[in-house]
Amino acid sequence: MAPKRVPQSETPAASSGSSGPGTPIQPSFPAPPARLGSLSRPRTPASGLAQTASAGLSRAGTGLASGAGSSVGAAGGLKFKPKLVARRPKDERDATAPAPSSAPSVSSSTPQSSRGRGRGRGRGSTSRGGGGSGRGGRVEIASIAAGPFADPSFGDPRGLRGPSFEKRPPQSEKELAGQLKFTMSDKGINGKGTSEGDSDDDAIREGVERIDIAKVAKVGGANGIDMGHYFPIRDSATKDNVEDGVAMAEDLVDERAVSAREAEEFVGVFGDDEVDELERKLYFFQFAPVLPSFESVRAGVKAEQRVKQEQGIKSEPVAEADLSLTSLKGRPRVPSDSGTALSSVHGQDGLVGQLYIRKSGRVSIEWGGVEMEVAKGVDTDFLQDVVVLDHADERKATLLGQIARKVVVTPNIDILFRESDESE
Amino acid sequence: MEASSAPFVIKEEDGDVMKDISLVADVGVSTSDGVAKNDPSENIKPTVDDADDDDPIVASFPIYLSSRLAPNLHIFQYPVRPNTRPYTRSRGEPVLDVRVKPQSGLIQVDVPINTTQFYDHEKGEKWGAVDRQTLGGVRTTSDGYMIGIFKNGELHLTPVKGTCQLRPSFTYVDKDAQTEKEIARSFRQDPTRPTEIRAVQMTVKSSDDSAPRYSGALAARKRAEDEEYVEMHWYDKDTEDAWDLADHLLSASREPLIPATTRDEYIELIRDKI
Repeated sequence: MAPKRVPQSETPAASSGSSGPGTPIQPSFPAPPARLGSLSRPRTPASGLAQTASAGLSRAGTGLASGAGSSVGAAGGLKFKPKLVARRPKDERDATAPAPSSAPSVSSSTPQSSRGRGRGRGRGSTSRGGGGSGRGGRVEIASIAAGPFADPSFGDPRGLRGPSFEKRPPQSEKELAGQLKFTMSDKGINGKGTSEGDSDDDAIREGVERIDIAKVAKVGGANGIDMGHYFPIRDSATKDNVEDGVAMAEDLVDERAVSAREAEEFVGVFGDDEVDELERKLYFFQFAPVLPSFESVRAGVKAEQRVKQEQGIKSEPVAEADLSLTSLKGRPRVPSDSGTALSSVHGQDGLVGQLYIRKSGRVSIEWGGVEMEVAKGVDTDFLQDVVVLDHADERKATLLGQIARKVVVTPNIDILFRESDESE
Repeated sequence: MEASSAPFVIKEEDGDVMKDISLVADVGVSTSDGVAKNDPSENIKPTVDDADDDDPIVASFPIYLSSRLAPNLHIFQYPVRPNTRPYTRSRGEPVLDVRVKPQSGLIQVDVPINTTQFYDHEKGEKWGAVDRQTLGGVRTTSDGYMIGIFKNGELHLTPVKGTCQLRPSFTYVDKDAQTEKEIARSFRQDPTRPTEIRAVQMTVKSSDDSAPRYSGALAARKRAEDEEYVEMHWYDKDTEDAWDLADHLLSASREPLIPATTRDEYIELIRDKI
């Protein structure tokens, strides 16, 4: 009679075939197979923690799921074996190594703690590393299309350039905020916009080298320094909120860019560096559902191209705006007054207000006499397209482009009430 | 009324605070954090006078309302698709087909699938999904949404007719299940007519008032299923049609519109709304 099947893999020292069904089989578990795709040196049960001394980079290109391996210890239980990473080739290490000298040599004094912390962070990040690091290096050349609205695929032009950092030795944690930078290859990390879920097929297809910045952060570890600890965070308020290297990279970009253009640009709300950038993007505005209404314009008003500044709502001269006559192709078409009234201003064309940018970056809108505050909306990582659906006559669905930014506009209640109080 | 603190100062770095702005503007939160130079409550005056504050206006754009595309302007959201991978011809993944049910607002969009990688051919054959997948959703309308573009120093806003979230629809699985049922049924009886998959089947009884009728959601569903899809032609964003249409986002008129609501009236309006 055949012996009972052992659910686990057959042991080398297989139970002798002659044992009857009543004899319990005591399988001894063989050593678990080496971790797939691991770049670490082959593990032996006796290696233990000693082999984790190297704080070098691991190629995150394989999208390793890091984590402790386990092996059968001497006592037969599982033993904690942190992930072993291979050192990068020397040239790469030199390229990103910090300038020698004043770097405090915290070398072996606290190997465990710093390593553990960095490791923890590294582990935490590489769990997302497969996806998150996928954002590195994928340069979207094709996406700069010639459409009416160029692909704002990242929603933030800063991201397209990618961060370029230099590395300097850490001095003090405070000073680091502006000083610690990294050099990265051209295939750097995309600052924003790319979601974690960048599919592997793209990365594989393009054969990109993905660099997980959390690992880069540990490069200073030639001296055993866990650079991740000194990695500057977005601003002092959220210094503690370090999740992973990818987030750090994003915020470095933000901070640098923000400090660079403190005032006159559309800081935050429109997120662009220059006014030119505005004109190629589609913005999604969320107004209050109830807005000041306007008197209906007579139907049949032809599209005119003069700009009237004196009459109308505002008394303030529209000074800075470049109000040269538009170069619109003359389309003297009757504005369509459709029957459906979505909001009180539907079916009307014309000047309704002003958008003001202030030196501090504050943005406000004056709409029909009511002042409104403008703020940056929550941007999303998923695709949002603007589409014109015409299913009546020609049955056309036309894609105009992606939404670049979301903007939320709310009435400024204070001003509203204050002025109404004053007028009483 | 209590004196408010500084108005919202929009900065990237204060992103944590700025994320949620409810309609009832909670202006009590001051985010200026010493960066803005404007004095809190003094200079909240009518906007037109703000130019000579500590926080002068550095740029202004006239805002024009445009209605030409308003009845047809939609937002398609693809919650399952990252915004770095749009469905455009420039990326080799253009939308292949669009179907709309005008009354119900059901929309279906066909997009290509890459069958060379990460594609299970066996399942693909089983379900007959060749090289495309169908995303489906319902279009809802909402107020207050607008699409804005800047052109020549002007901001043109067009109201949005509706938004639609397009998610993968698994009609092929339904078809598959249906086919199996039909095969089983055909063994028992003659196949009458090709039946489509419907959630709501209504049989016609004698027409008197006591006939059971669906109501509410079921009725809406039945209406939707009765309606036919309107096939539409998709124009990618790099086409001439798209360019032409994009011009329509600009306002047809530069005439200033005359406001019809005073501030007090507006306060009444929003107060009633809340």
